[in-house]
Amino acid sequence: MGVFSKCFLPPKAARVDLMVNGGEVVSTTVDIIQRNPVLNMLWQHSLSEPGKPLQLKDDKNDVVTLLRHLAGQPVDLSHRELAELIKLFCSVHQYQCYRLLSDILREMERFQSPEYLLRIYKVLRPLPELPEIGDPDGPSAPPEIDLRDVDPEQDDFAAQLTRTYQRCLQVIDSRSSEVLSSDALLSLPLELLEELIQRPTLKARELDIGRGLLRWLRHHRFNSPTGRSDPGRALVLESLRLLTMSPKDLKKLELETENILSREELEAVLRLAHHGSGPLPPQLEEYRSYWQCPRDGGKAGRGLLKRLVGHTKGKGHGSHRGQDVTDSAERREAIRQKRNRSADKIKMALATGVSFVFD
Amino acid sequence: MRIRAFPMTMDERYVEGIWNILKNAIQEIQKKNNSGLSFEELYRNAYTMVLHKHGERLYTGLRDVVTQHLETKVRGDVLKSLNNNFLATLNQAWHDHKTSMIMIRDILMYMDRVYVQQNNVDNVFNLGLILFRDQIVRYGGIRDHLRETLLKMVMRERRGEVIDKLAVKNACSMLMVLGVDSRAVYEEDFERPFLQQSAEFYRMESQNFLAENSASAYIRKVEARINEEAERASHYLDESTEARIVEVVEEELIKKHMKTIVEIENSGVVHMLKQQKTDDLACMYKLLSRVQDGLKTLADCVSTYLREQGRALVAEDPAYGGKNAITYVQSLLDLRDVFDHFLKNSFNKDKMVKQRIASDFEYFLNLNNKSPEYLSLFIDDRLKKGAKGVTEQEIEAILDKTMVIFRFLQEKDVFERYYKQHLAKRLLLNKSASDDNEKNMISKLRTECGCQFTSKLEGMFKDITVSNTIMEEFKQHIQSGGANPFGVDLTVRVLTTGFWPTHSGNIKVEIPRAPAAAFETFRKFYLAKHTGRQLTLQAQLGSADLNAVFYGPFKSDDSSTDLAVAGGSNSALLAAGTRSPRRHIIQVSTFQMSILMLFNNRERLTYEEIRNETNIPEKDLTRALQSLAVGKPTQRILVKQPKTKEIEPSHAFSVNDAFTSKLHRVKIQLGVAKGESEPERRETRSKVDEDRKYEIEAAVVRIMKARRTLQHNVLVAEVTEQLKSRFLPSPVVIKKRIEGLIEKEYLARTQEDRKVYTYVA
Repeated sequence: MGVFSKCFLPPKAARVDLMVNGGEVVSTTVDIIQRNPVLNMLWQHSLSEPGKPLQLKDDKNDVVTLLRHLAGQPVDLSHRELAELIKLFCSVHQYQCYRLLSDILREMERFQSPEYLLRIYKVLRPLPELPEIGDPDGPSAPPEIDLRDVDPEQDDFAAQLTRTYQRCLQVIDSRSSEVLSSDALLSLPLELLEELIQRPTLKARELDIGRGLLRWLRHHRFNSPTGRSDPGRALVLESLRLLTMSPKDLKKLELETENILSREELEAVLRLAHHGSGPLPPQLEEYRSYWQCPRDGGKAGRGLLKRLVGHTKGKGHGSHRGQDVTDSAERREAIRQKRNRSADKIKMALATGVSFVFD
Repeated sequence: MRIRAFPMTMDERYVEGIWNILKNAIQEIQKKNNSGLSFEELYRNAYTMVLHKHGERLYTGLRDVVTQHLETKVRGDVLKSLNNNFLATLNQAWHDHKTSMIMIRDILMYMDRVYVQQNNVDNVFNLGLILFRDQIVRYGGIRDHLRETLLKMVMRERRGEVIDKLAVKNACSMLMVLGVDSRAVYEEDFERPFLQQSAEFYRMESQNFLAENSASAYIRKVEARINEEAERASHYLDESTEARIVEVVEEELIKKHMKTIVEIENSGVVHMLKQQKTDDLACMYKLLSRVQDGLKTLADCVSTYLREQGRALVAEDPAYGGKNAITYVQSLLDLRDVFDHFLKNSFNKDKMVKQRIASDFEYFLNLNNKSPEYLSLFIDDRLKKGAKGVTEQEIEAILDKTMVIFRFLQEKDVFERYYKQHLAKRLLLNKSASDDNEKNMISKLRTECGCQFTSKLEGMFKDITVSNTIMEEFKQHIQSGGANPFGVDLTVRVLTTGFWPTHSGNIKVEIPRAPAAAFETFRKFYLAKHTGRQLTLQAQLGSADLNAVFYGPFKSDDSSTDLAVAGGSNSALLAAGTRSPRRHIIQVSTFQMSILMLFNNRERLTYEEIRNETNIPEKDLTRALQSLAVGKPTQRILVKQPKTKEIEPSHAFSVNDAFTSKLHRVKIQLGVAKGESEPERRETRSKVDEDRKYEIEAAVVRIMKARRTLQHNVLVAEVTEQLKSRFLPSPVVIKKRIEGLIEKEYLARTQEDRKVYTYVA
C-alpha cells in the first residue's frame, strides 16, 4: 500500500523530476514542490514508486512557468499572446496557484478589443471561484463568498477575477454590436451565449442581437427544418424582445426562414407589432409582456425574464450562492464555519501526520 | 492555436464515466489497493467534475461510497469482534479509515477548496470522521461496548493489573478526532462516564482510607492517587482530561473530607503542629491548597491552635502576681519562631496563612493589656548593660523580632510611654549598653510608626549629648576657679521638659547641704549661659556615690560607729573609734543619699523623722529604705527596729556598723526592679488616656479642617483610621471628644442634620 509517511520524506534540497506532456522531464527541488498543495500531494503519492518521475499532463512551458513562479523567480507575461495566457491560466488553475492566476488576470488587461474580451469572458465565466456578479453598471460589490479567512491569495484571486470579469461585461454591454458580430461569439457555448443575449443592458438594436443569435444558431446547426420545440426556437423566444422591433426589422430577421416561427405565428407577431394590440397564438401568449419590454427596461423586464427562463437559469452558475447570501445571519454563520475549517485543516494535518503546504 | 478553455457543459455520460473512475479509485483505496492508482489522473477528474458544476454529485457520491464501505465492511468486522479483540479491531478500522480518507481528500482537494467552501459543507476528511462516528463508533451496541471496555481497562489498571495502554490511548485519540472541532464525542462517549465512575470509585476509597489511616498516611495516599490519575490522563487518555480527573479526585478525596482530615485526633493538623511535623504539614498544605476553601480549613485549624497557645501564654496568673516580662515576651517570640518555621517550611509562605497567623498574634497579644509594658521591659533588658556573650548581630536579630511583636500591638502609644520611661532610666542611670543599639531601635520604631513617634526619644538622646558638653564646660569653669562645687563631684543632666517622662507632682525634696549647694552653683552657671530658662531638680532619677567608713563588727546597741557620708569622693570623712575602719563606696539613689546623710548627725531616726526631714514621698521613701534596711543582706547599710519586712512610721533605723562586703564599691539595688506596681500602672494608664484625648481631638480637628463638613459615622471611621497606628480609639471616646470640641466651638452641628458636623474656623 502506498501510504506515505513523514519519516520517508527526502530532504528539501533533493531533486524531483516531472515528466510533462510530450515526455520531456523537468527537474526541480522538493522545496519548490512543497510550495504548491497539488504538486506536493501528487509528489507525496509518487513516493511509493521511487525513481519514477511525477507525471503531469501539461505543456512544458506552462509547467516551467509555474515552477519559476513557485521558486520566486520573475515570470515575464508581458510578451505573451492572449491565447498563450489563457492556456497558461487553465493549466495553473488546476494547480490552484492563485497568486500566479492573479498575475495572469492582470496581464489580460492588456487586451481591450471585444473579440479578446469575449474570449476572456468565455474562460472566466465558468470558474467556480467567480463570485455572484451583480449589475455591471452598478457599484461593484465585494465577492459574496468570503475566502479571506481561508487563503488571502485565493481571496485576491477572486477579487481580481471579479474585476476582469466585470470589465468583460462592460465591454459586452457598451460595444454590443461589435461583440455580436465577432467570430469569438461563435465559440461561446450555449449557456454563455444565452446569458449574453438575454442581458437587458446590451446596447444594440434588437435586430442586430437577433442576427447575432441566428448566426450562432446557424453555426452550431441548432435550427431544425421540422420541429418548433428545438432549443434554437426556445433560445430565440426567450432572448429577443420581438415586440420592441418594428415590423420591418422583424421581417428582416427572417424568423420563418430560420424555422423559429411558423408563418401564422410570425403574422400574429407582425400584426401585434404593427397595431400595438391583438391576439397571439396561445403558445406565444406567455412571451407577450416580455417581448414588449425594451432592453434597459429596468426591473420589470428583468423580472419577466427571470420568471420566463427561471427554470433554465436555475442550473446556471452560482445559483445556490445567490440564495445563501440573502440572509446575513446565514452568511455570518457561513463565515464562522469557514474560519473553523481553516482550523480543521491544521487538525487534519495533525491527525494524519502529513505535512501539507497550503498554497 | 486552438484554445483549450474550460468547457461550460459536459456530457452526462462523460460525467458518469469520470465519477465511476473516481468511485472505483475510492473503493480501491478503501480496500488498500491504491498502489496502481494515478493520483494525478484522479485529481484531474475530480477537478473537472467540480469545474463543470458537478461538485454536488461528487460530494454526495463520496458520502454514499464511504457510508456503504463503513456499513458493509467495517461495521461487520467491528461487530464480530465485540467479544474478541474488540479494541484492537476498532483501532485498526479507525487507522485504515483515516488513511483512506487522507488519500481521498488528496484526490478531492479542489472540491475541498471550492465546492466545500462555497456550500458550507464538511470537508472531505471531516465528512469521513462524521461518517465513521455515526456508522461505526456510535452505531448500536458499539458505542456502549467501547465505553464499557475503556472503563473496565482503567479500573483494572487502578487495581494494579497490566493493560494495553496503547489501545486505550488510540481509542481516546480517535474519540477526540471524531469530535471534528469540539471534544463532544470524547466527552460524551468516554470522559463523562469515566469521571462518574472515578468519582464513585474514589468515594468508596476515601471511606476506607479514612477508616484505616492516620491523617499523614491519608494525605500521602491522596497525593499518590492524584499523581497516578494525572499520569494516566497524560499518558493514555486525552491530556485535557488530566485537569478534570484530578478535580474529581480532589473533590472526592480532599474537598469532601477536608475538615475530617484536618481534625483527625492524634494525627490531624493540631497533632502535626504539636509534634512539629513540618513535612506532614507541608504535604497537608499542598493537598488542601488544591481545593477551594481547603486552605481556609487548614488556616482555621492552625489559627484555633495558635490562639489557644497564645491565650495560655498571655494569661496572667493571679497566683504569681503577674508575669515575668522577659519570659512573657521570649515565649511569644519563641511561638512566633515556631509558626514562622511552619509558614516557611510547611505553608510555602502562603499569604493567607501568614495573615491568619499575624491576626492571631494580634488577637491574643492584645488580650493582655500589659503587653506593651512587657515588650518595652524586654527590650530594656536587652539594651541594658550586662547582657553577656550576646553579639551585636544577635541583639539586632532580637530587636527585629520584637518589632514583629510590636506590630501586633494595638496600644502603641502605651508602649511608647513605657519605652520612654525605660529609655530615660537607661540614659540617666547610664545603663545603656550601646548607643548604637539604642539608636538602631529608635530607627526601627521610626520606620514602623513615623518620626512623630520617635521625635521625643531622639530628643532625649540629644539632651544627653548636650548635657555632656555642658558638664565639660562646667568642670572647666570650676577648674578655672569660677565656682565652688563644695567638694561634690556633681554631674547634671539637663532634660528638656516634655521629652522625658514626667513624674507625678513636682517633689520638693530636701537634699543635703553640700550637693544642694553644688547644684546651686551649677544652676547659676547654666542660667548665666542660657538666660530665661528654668531648671528644676528632679531628684527621683538621680544617683550618688558615697564614701562610707564602717567601724564594726559591733553588735551591741550602743554602737558608736559613725557613718561618714558625703556627696563626692573627696568629701571630708568623719572617722572615729578605735576599731579598724572599712571603707566602701556606696552607690545609691539621690533619695537614699539624702536619707543616709541624715545619719551623719543622728545615730537613730524613725521613719517618720526621716520623712519629715527629707520630704521624700512616702512611696519612694519606703522603697529607698527597704533596699537599705531589708534588702539583700550584703546591701543592708541600715538596721531596722523591729526587724520586720514591713516599714511603719514608728520603725527606727540606725547605721549597720557591722556591714561587711567583699566589694569596695557596693551598689544598692532598688527594691522593685522589673515592671510597675499596680497603682503605678493605673497612673500610667490614666496618663495614656489623658494623652489619647488630645490625640483624638487633634485628629478630629485635622480631619474637619480638611473636610469642612462630615457625617458623624464617617468622621469616627476616619479618626479610627488615622489613629490605628497608635491605638484603637473606641467610638464612645471619639464621640465624647467631638462633644468636647463642639463645646469649645471648634465644631458645630448642622441645623439640617444633627449627625453632621461642620468645622468652625
